[in-house]
Amino acid sequence: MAKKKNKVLLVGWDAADWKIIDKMMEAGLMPAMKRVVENGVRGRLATLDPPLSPMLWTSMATGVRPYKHGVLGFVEHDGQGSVRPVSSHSRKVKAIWNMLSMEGYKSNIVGWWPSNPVESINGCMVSNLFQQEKKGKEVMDKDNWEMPAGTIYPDRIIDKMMEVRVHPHDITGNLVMPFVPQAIALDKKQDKRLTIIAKFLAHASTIHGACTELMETEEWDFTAVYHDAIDHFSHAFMKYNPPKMEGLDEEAYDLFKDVVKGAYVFHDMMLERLLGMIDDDSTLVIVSDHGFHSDHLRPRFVPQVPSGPAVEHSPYGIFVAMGPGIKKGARIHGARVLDVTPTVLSLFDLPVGRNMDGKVLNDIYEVPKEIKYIESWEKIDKEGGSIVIPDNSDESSNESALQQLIDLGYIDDMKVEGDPDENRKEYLKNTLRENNFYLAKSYANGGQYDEALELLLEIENRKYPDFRYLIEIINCAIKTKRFALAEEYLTYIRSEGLIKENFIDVLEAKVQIGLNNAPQATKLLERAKMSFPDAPDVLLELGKVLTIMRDLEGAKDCFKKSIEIDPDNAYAHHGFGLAAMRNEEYELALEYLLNAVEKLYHYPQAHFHLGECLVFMKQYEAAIHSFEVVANIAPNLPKTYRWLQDIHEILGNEKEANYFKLIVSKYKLGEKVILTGVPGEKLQRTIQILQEIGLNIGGDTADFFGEHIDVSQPNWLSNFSEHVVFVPLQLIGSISGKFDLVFLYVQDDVLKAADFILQLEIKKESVYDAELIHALQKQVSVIETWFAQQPNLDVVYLTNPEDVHTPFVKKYLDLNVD
Amino acid sequence: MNEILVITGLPRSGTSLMMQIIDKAAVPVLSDGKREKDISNPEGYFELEAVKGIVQDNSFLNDANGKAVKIVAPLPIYMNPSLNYRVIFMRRDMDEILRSQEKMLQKDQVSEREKFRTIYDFHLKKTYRFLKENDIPFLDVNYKELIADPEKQLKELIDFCSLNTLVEELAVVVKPELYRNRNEN
Repeated sequence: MAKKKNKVLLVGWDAADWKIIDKMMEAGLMPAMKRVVENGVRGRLATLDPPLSPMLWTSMATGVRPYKHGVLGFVEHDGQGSVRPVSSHSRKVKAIWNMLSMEGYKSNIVGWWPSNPVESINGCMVSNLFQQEKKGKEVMDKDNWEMPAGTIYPDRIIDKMMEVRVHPHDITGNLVMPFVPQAIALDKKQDKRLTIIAKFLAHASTIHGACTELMETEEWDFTAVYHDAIDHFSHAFMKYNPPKMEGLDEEAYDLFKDVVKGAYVFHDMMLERLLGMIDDDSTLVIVSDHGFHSDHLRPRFVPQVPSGPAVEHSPYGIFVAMGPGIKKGARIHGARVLDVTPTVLSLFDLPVGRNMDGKVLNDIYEVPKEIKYIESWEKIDKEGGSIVIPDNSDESSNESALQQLIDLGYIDDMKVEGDPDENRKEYLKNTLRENNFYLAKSYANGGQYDEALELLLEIENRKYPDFRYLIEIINCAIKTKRFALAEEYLTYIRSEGLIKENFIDVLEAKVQIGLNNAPQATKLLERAKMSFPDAPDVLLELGKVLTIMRDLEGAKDCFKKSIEIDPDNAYAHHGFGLAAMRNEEYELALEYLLNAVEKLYHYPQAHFHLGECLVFMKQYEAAIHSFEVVANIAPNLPKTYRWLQDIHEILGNEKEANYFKLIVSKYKLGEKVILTGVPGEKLQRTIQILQEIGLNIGGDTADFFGEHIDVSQPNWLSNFSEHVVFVPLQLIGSISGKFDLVFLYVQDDVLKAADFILQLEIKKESVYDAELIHALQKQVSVIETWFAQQPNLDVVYLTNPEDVHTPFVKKYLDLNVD
Repeated sequence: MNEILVITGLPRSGTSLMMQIIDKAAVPVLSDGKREKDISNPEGYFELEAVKGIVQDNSFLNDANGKAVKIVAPLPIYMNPSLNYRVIFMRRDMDEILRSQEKMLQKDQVSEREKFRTIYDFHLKKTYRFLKENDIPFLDVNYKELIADPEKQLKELIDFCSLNTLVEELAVVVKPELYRNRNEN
């Protein structure tokens, strides 16, 4: 096939973060990056959970989540009872270089993690072990520097690739000086930090050398290069980056405060060189898999658990694209790590697999492209390259790469005491268990909570309790409404003292929210807040529960404080927007809901509430857009379609309204007439009259306070076979959107209702006081706002029990009386 | 019978009892007798060692047409779907199963009941999903109902498996005294 003129260069900078890049560009320290940003589009690239680089870069290169691609951490089983660094053997799906090879495009792939052993693609591959200077635990001399097996494809380029390598010993003090100006005063042999800088520089230079050599000497359509140096520099030196962290040694701060800055400058210089090697017909894409906290969000300590250093990662990486047909100086929102492969495919006008979790970032184009789809690239029978050496390991190169991961703190070293065979077995078992934990996290991150929970319960072992596993189990149990399971684990964690009591309180509060016990949840969260007034988790959860309790000012305060701590927190913006919306402050709500979706596009709840807010502001066209986004990213929320039906009915779009009505009917669990009202004499009398005329009413009609309905059960309304169901006022908000509902709402005077309640002696502990009246007034106000804010809802207001005999009311009831 | 008759269900849900019934009905049973009878199953377990290795090797099923084999849930999901099966799915109240297992293992797992309940729910769901996705006919047999009303349950079983036997012949296998750990509540 004819080659396209347009080439694509994809540059991967692990952990590159806009917070630093923006400051550097402003200070004139990253001129190459600034040029790209000004002439292209930029955006944040949302990472995945867990934010572990081999998993993320494989998602980047495949467009699918880790539970589909199979790369599950830093190490893998070598099939011979031991572990090795994660390799291309773990990947179960095709990568972008395979897809391009299948379509006849030539690629250069350099340093991608993981890509060893390399594959026989149409083009050249240099694996992530290429820059390794160690053999086993020993550093090889520059003159005797071997290449690990499976590093280069094809063999004919081995010699020229070996030529471009830079050995750490080549990095002299002068080269380290820009990073540590006072390096000369330090003893290089004594201070390992200088050696580390030299090593990171040598590795980055080697990868850069291989990339430029291949770009210059080989024919190519696509070049992808991956650099780990920013991540490594950041893990080692971000703690010294200005502003100075509390408690940091002054001397160390002065010595190393410029290292991270130096690393970014160095990458900008490499970028400058790459820019000089591509022409105007080429597209350049720069990405990072996650960011790195560089300000007050830097963690004060790194947990001593596998992959503990990942707490330093921030949830957004970078995305920049520049080239023909791409917008200039624009910003895009909502990009994710998963979207990189689909977008690269679109640059080549190739189809996207429907099985991919990512989407094409069509907003980058001046004229949006028509996206082509195929079922899956896996089903296409064309040669795309296969791994060049069989699945066995070169122990010496594995050992050195493993040592690198141990040095970086990503994996634990193996114990050396005792029986080596037993140690090895135990180490393998723990490694596989840890990888399964990452697999479970990936499932949960993709919304597959059942799969996650099943796996977590299998790997959880009370002999070796791991708080991370236990927390994830509780979270998944809550998500899947298995509250008894969550409680069982909370009891266990509490009894063993495995986590700080305040953190357990937050988890327990989530369970209580699920059990519809908002007052208890508030109590727990208030207690946690006393100890950790600035903990984002506590503030967010407390804000949510206060919203449920309709303490909307209190909720807004929590979210506001959370935004002050981290202005990028999409959940806090959403929470504030929702609280403001419930308070009928629509202008204010709109501002915060827009912030939320700008910061995190793949956030269906935020789009949903944005849509509702727009409806209340009568901005129907904009609301339609928001609900369509929800339908696209979370198609199983039936209420979305109810809103779309409702809006189109308002706008008189009959065809569209009927279309959404049809969708609603597919999700529909049934039709119900809900009898509810202010808990007073009028409500009691209405129930009595309806029963007298022979109406079967579901539910406990004496249970005015909802003590006998378990609303934590999904679709609990289905348990009632009757068409008319009595639901106490305070439980109305828990009714699923999967029913077509008509409400018979009995209004009453709140003061009389308070008298009635006291006379019933149901609330024996209550005395006639303002508190009860206030609670009732609030409940009435909440429910009336709720009625006003629901789509497709018919509410029949009854002020007099005898009104049930009127034809208007009978019209509703006759439908349901046999 | 031109299929493999698979008896499945969670451990302690009556799978061994069903194997005895099937044995009584003169259906050849795949069993190696390696697991000996004990106080938890006085009549024996009717198990085949190879079933434990089904994840790696399910070839023991290749020549099992017309025979019965016990494969506890969720292991049926590893059966070769291209073979023909008929499955009897033993069901029992989950609390009874958990208590019975705890008794058998002589282990107090009360603090982990919800954990095991959830795991077993997943196992049941996975097994049912496999049967449905592969159009494998199955019959649910409730252990409690089998004990309480053997005739009704056994008649359904005879029909489902096209067994050439009488209900009365099989009913003698169902001994109420085996119905231990009854959920009195």
